[in-house]
Amino acid sequence: MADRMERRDFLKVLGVAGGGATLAGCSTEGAEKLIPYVVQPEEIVPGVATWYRTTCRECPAGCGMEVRTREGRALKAEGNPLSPISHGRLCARGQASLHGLYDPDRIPQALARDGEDWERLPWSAAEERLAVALRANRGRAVFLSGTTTGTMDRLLDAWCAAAGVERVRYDAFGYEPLRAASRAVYGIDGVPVHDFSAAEVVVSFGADFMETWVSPVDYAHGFVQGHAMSGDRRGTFIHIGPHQSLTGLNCDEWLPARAGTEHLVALAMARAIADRRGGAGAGAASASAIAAVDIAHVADTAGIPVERIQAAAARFDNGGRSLAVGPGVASQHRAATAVAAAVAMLNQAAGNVGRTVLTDRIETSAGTGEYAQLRALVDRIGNGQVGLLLVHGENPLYSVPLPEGAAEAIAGVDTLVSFSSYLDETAEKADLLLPDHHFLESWDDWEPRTGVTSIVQPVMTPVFRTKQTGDVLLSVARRAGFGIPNQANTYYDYLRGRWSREVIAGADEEGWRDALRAGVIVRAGASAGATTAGTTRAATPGVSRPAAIGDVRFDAPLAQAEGDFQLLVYPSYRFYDGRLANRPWLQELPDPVSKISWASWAEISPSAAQRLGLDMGDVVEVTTAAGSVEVPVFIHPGIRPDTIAIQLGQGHTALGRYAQSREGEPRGVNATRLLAAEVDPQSGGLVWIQTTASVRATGDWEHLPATGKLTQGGREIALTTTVAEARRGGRIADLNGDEHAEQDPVLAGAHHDAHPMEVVVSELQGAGGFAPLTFGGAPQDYPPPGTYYGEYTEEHPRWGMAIDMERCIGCSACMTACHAENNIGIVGPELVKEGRIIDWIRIERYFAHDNEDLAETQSGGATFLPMLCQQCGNAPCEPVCPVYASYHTPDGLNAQVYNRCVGTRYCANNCPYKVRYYNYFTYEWPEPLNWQLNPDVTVREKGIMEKCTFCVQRIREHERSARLEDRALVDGEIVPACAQTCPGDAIVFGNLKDANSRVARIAASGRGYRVLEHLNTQSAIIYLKKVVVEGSEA
Amino acid sequence: MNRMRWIVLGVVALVVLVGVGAFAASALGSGSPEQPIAFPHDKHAGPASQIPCMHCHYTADRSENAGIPAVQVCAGCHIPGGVPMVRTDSAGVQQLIEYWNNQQPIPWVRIYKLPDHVHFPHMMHVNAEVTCQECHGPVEEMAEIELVAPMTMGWCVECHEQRAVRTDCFVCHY
Repeated sequence: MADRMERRDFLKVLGVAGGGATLAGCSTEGAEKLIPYVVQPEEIVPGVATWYRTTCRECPAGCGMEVRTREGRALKAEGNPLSPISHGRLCARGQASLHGLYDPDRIPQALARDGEDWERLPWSAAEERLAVALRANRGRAVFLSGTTTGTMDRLLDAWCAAAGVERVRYDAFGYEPLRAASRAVYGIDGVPVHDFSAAEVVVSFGADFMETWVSPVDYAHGFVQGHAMSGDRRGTFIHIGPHQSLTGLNCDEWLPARAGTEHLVALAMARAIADRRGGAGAGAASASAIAAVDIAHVADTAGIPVERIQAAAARFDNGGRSLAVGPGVASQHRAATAVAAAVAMLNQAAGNVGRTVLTDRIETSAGTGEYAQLRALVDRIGNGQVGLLLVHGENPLYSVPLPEGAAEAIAGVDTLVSFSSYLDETAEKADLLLPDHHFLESWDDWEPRTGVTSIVQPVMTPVFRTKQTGDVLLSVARRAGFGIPNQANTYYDYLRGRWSREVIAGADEEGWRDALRAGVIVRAGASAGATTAGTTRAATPGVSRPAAIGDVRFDAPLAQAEGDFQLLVYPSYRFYDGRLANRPWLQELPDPVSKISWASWAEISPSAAQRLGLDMGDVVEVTTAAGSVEVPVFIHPGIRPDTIAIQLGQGHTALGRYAQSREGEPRGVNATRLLAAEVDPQSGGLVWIQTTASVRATGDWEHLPATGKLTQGGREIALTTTVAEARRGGRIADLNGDEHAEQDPVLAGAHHDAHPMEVVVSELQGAGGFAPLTFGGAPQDYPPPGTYYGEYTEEHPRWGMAIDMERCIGCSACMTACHAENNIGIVGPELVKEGRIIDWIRIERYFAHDNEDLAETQSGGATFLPMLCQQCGNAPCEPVCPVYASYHTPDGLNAQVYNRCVGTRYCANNCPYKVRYYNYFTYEWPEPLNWQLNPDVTVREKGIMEKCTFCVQRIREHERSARLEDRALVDGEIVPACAQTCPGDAIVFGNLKDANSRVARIAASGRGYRVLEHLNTQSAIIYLKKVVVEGSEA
Repeated sequence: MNRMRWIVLGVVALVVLVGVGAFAASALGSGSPEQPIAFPHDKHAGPASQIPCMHCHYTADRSENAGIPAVQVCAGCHIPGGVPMVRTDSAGVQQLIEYWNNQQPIPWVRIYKLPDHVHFPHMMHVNAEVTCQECHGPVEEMAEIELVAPMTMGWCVECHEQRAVRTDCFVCHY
């Protein structure tokens, strides 16, 4: 023994030597400074977080948000629990808003064009230039913006009127067909509010309501409430359209209707309902449109069987507890207004109006402008009728197709002024840049829907020398010498004045402070009549919006041009219209469907890929009459074989270092370049789905930066059950794709006595693991007493989690929340390709089959499984660590001690869940992105293994405050970042030993199981099986 | 051969340990770095004034950070509105007045520093009635602050064991 060098002895000595070297390298030279405040702000205690409530402005939805700050820096965004839009949750875009605040490529100050260069201007000089340009261009000036609501909308109207500037609005996703149809069918001027939580049956006609559509966090939250198995109740979601994006992937049943036939299917369903009821249920005008439908003909045109349309209609006729939605961008074709009208009639036919479709309130933020108005403006610019163009909040040179020569014409306007915070494609061409504050630095408000006013307040001092546009406008008004009603010195005063007059009339200063503390004002019983949306609705040449159902054209033609595939473009869950493409968290976040990050891809079905001889990553050239792009292929089971889909949002020629490659080349492709600038004459919206495309293999192959697998490969990972079984509460193992299950006796033989588990487990854990091999038992019994060199006493909790796969929609907001909370490095596309991505939590997306079209099997979508460290009670990672960096804590956590870790990676090798991640490099956060780093979490560097900690910093924080307040921890007070943001409330954290805790009660569900339970890892995460609706599997 | 390896490793370890010891000794006994203002803790916390530590470091019982007082805290006594509460003629106070008049923070040189992978919550220790002096020494007697403890993990753990408080890694390292 004496002359045998043990591995641990060797490492001990080496560790001392290494430590000594490090210490010797230290010196008191370059000592750290302690910089105190000069005057300490009252509300700040150094080391204690301060929270501010504000409103997310990353997309128009307007989710209430609260932001954690420390020592004056914003660190983490979470949802405001009082907001009826966010319900305390955020999507991945909202979580990543901090990367917009700290974007190193922001425009740092006012700039003026100086040839090829930019001249730095003090704000006074920049405002003076704008005032001069205004005087010179009276009557020839246009203010182009996206949707604005609330105070800013009032100011812009007043300012433009006083300055002689015309206001033009358009949104990349403006829902023009929905608004046009709402007027025709419901007689309201806007998109009605949808209550998904009251809908047991949801039918979507291409609306991506969990991703970008209107109010995605509220809708996803409501959808899960109405849909997920709860007691004996389980909802149904039917997706209708040629392609499954994230929303479609959540369906129980997919009717893969040909693109452009959605309105016919909706009418056919309405007809089927009317037939069932003997003609009752719809108004006279819609009755004639519905009566004209021939279901068999529709079935033939759409390519789906008659019986399935009738079965869907039968389900949908659910006593007012169903909801049809659509169209979204992915179904915004030439008949989009007809889709919207047909959907509205379908809702009427099923008696949903007033129950799930709330027509007394409207989604104010769902667009107020029109693409047609932008088109008309572009024509006028081309004719030289515009001398001054001010652009705020939109990026027209990127986000929508424009007619030929329009980009040059816009760039060539005498004075092009941009208020963008980022040097995007439009700002790049500007003559004057007046960068707006980020919303986290701004005072403002937002009215997402009737009766809801949400406050935008600064959570920190501005990062750069930017100035809020409201302040610039007020200042320019003074300089140019024009007055506006309720003129104020600052935008804050203007905002405060309007609030005193209109929003919280009669309230004193304390009332205003209460409003700031709440972050949102909800007026119950408010009706749409009180809103101002639609007041700027101008006549647009060539657009004739339907006044009534009778005016809606249900026979609009579909695709033009000769091509092999219908081209479908759809919004990006991560980048929206592309405005968020320079957020490194969002670039690195794998797309919820393709699991590809940092790139573009074209989606085609397995059968189409086989027909063309294409494999994953093969580069194809997609050509339309408008243009051509080269893009690698992702083979997506959830798309019709006659359709090719490309996501919007990438392909930036400007915007910054993350949206573009290191050499400044676009990352991915901009799919709008395949489209013509075509206006829908019925709504004034852009026709997004307009053409077929020819697809040609180029012979090239690209290594896609993708993670995960398409299927489970026959392993028992994400289990499903049926409604009947779930109601019975039995524990059954109904494996997705179980025909592969016999491959591996160890993996497949979960609970078979025939397999000597001791052998299997000791092989997996290595000999000499310090946790004894005990079998069976419940999670709360682990780890057993005496298995740790510390004491497990009764008072220690066993932290655990319950994850209900019924409630997980795969949106991946948890992944971005985790990145934000835990200082996780951004590895970049090259390292993602090498499998070195770091995602403490990841969402596995499993299809039943990787090589079969879902359109053929006509089954639902995919199963999502959040995978994170299972905090095993009998953890395979622990005994293999030579330096005890991976060990078990008394409260049942698998700790990873960074300062002990020497990077052998044995633990990751031995982890059956593959949830440990290694820092192959020291990843960097370019200034000021590093300002976001959470001071409560160690920043890891090269050579360190890391993984989910159950947000131990939050556990410790609450343990400490409980201790100081001399009380016990309250169930539910500790919420990890992933659980906090989950719009579906799928993740519940707590103490498994406490039988009354929420987590223990959920974990006791009959649907509960643990992943790879047969390995005897005694994990602390109990998954609840997803429920598969009978009959949805063909 | 194996014996040889042990000897080589032993020598390496010995050299390193001596180095570490020398380093630790030099850090502990090296006196104090020069501060922007020669702030005499003994005059403030000592018998003459007897100002409690928490008067200035007032977040120590409610935050991880004990808190370095804002310049305003110093100014509160030394630069009162009209009535001089304490002497203002010393060089240090003159420097303070200059910082305050310029509204500049005083760039103190940090002496007690833990690595970034250690979380030391002051408030837990203060509320557990660990006196400031147990870690920072008799500050009330010090004209200049100097490091009195090695600030090593063993030193922390020793106290944790004496007081029977948690010693598992994940309490401080995460």
